[in-house]
Amino acid sequence: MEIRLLKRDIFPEDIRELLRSLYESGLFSYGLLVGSWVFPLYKEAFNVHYPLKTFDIDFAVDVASLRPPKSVDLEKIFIDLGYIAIMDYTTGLRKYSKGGFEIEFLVHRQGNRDLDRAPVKQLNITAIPLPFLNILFQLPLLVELADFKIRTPCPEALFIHKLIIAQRRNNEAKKENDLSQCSILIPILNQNKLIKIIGLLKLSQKTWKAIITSCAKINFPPHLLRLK
Amino acid sequence: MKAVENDNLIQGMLHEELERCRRMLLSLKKELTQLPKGSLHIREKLYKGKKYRYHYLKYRDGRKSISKHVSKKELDSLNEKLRARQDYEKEIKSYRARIKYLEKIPRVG
Repeated sequence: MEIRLLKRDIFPEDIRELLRSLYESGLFSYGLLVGSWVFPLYKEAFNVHYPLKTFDIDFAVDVASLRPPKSVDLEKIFIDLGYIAIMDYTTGLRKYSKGGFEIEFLVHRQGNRDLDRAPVKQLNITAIPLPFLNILFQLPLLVELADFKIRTPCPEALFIHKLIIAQRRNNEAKKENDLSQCSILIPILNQNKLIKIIGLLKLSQKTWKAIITSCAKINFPPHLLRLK
Repeated sequence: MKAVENDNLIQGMLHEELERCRRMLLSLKKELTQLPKGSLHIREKLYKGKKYRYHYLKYRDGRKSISKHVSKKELDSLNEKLRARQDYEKEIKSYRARIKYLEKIPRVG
């Protein structure tokens, strides 16, 4: 699905500049803008309002669609934009920061491997491997802004993803944040898309239970996801 | 969303942000230890009627002021590291200011 948003002030200027540079690097052909910074787009496109935004911006990268000829030095792009590279000594992750604002990358983690980081050599970055991230790549939204385009999860994919991860959080605040984002998305969810995405997923019994538990917390009828 | 839930959510997020800032500050401080401190200066000397220019790095070690000769070969790399140090120090200031602000918020700090 493609939507066009021509309003210029959806993002603060610094973030706009970052997104434009990433678009020019080709990131959005294999990556997505994820996390709380998706909501300013949803607000414009679907009129849902979620005011809380974090001081970090997350991008999900689909490593499988990164073929060998594609090689981009994202670190250089960030440094040219005034960010500095910082090694997180607890995880070994390389992060980028400017004025206290941080850029992070996420990749899908398969199986139950307990990895802190995943180097993505073609992009000269390290990413955090997280389970269920592949869900966000189902039926993504291509958003055309005034002078560049970005790709982001569709609300239905984000909704299902949040339903799952909310029940896996150890941190109550994050769990609450996930569920409140889900609640806000309910009015704009497309039933067909929800069913289509659910149909594509191969999940364990435990994960289906997690979805049902989250549905109960936000009063969302699980039968709308074809679940009992 | 109920007001009480909303309040808990915002407090939780601010606490998370405080933790993130503390972690980043720690990492930034570690990065700083790997970078040289001080500033570059040029000294001119006249020797047998000819003027020679020497670069030296001036920094403080406790109460002592230290001047260290810098060879031409080291100059570019040292300049780059000193600039990087300034960038890291600027970033540290941003995180310190945010930590100070967040710590003042009741039930967050």
